[in-house]
Amino acid sequence: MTSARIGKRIAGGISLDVEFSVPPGVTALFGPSGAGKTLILEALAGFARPDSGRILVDDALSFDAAARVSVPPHRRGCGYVAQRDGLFPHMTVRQNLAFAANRSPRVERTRRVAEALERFQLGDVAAKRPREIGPVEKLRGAVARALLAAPKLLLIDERGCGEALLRTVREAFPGPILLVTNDLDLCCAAADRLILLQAGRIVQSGAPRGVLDRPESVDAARVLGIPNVFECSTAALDPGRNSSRLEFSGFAINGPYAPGHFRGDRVWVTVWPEDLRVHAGEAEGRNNAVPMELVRVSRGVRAVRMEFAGGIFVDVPNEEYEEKKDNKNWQVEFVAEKVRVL
Amino acid sequence: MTADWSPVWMSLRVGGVGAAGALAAGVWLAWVLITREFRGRRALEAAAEIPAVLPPLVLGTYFAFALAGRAEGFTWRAAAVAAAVAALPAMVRAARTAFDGIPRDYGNAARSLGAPGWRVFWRVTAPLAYRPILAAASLAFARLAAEYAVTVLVAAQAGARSTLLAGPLLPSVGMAALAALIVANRLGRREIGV
Repeated sequence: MTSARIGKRIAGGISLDVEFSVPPGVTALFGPSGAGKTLILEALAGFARPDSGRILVDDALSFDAAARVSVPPHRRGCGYVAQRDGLFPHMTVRQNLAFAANRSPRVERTRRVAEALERFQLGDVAAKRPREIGPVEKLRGAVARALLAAPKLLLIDERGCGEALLRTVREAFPGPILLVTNDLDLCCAAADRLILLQAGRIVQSGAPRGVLDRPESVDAARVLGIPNVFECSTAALDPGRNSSRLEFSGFAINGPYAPGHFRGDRVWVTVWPEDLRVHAGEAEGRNNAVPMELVRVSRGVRAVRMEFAGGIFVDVPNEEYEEKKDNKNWQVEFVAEKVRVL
Repeated sequence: MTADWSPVWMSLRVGGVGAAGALAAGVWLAWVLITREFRGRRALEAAAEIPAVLPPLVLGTYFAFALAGRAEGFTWRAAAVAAAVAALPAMVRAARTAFDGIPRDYGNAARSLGAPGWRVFWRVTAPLAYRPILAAASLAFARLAAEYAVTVLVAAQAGARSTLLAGPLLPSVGMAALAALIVANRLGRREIGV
């Protein structure tokens, strides 16, 4: 098992204080810029020395602040794919790969390099230098090189890592992979575990779908980029029907039952923009639809984001918006089971 | 009348060996200062700059005192050591700048692949940084080949007999220095290691 408890002061008054484990499979680290994602990878790899904590890589002690143990990076067995500047620029792709396999005998090294070139579809660019190839091939080369060193833990600090490449990596490497990413779609598609990081703290972790569907705190919702995070009060609670009445400034909606709260408590509510519905015209018996004034519209590739007064955002498909765009009166419907009380 | 070229060779030898010595020591010192954290690092950094802040005459005087009483007196080796010390600060600065210019991700990637420090240096850092470092070494050679002050004082300590560069032969060394400057310029212009 690979596990880490890392404490380190970062410039600007922020400190990193995290504890997590990395089981076999892909664990994605997700968070805003400056949250400490790269620093975590550097601490695991041995490039940055934590002020406190303990790091175990494949059950072998790599770092222990209390015992003053710090295994040098070249003995930790952590493959590291850097955010930029992956392949050595003065070597060809083949030479880069051979650098990682240098401990093998010559014949074995040649075979392993050839296998890696084929597996990562780098045969055509094997004789080229990094400046002569594209960013995708560079990334594939950097990952292939990291795997050739037979790491115990693979650290990928590369935001351009796509699902196809990750699938290839998983086929070639059954061990734990820690991936820094800004792509929630990739987390859902390819990661087994998601860790949300904000200002040096883990705000939530778990299976990606579960974290996305059930953020546990305002911080988690904000890290996930959910724009609809509101404070309200509980006007009524009914555990029997699993429902509650939530009062915002100016309107009230029905929501799910909020365990651990009493009537009159201030609570935070969050809902994804695509989980809200918009209706054109007057409200017609929809008990959870609230009339709202449309403030702004921004068009995306497949959806339109509608911003209503009070900072409520709704994503609707382009076609639906085109049908309704001439409308003057809008209602926003809150689907009770999609509303999350934090 | 045949010209005596021995002073030219002497100057070139002192300049060449001095620059080579400064290159080796300067690169090693810069590498240690950049990659190692140890007590006294700041003091070592400051010590490496001392020859730069001393005027050549003062530096030469120190060497003259250091050699005083030695039987062999002035030798080209003593002059080369003095020249290497004089050129050391510039070499350390040039090497540090060259190493700093290499993205640290390269070194980190190499270490994560199991390469110890010496292998990272020879296989990754040195090939990427050698051009500006060699440019600095060429400049050091150009300066040392034409350097008088330190050598004169080291030679003077040994008495009148020395094989210092004679005034009429100065243009020959000047040409060598110019060639070194051109090499430095060409090396310096090229993109670092890529």
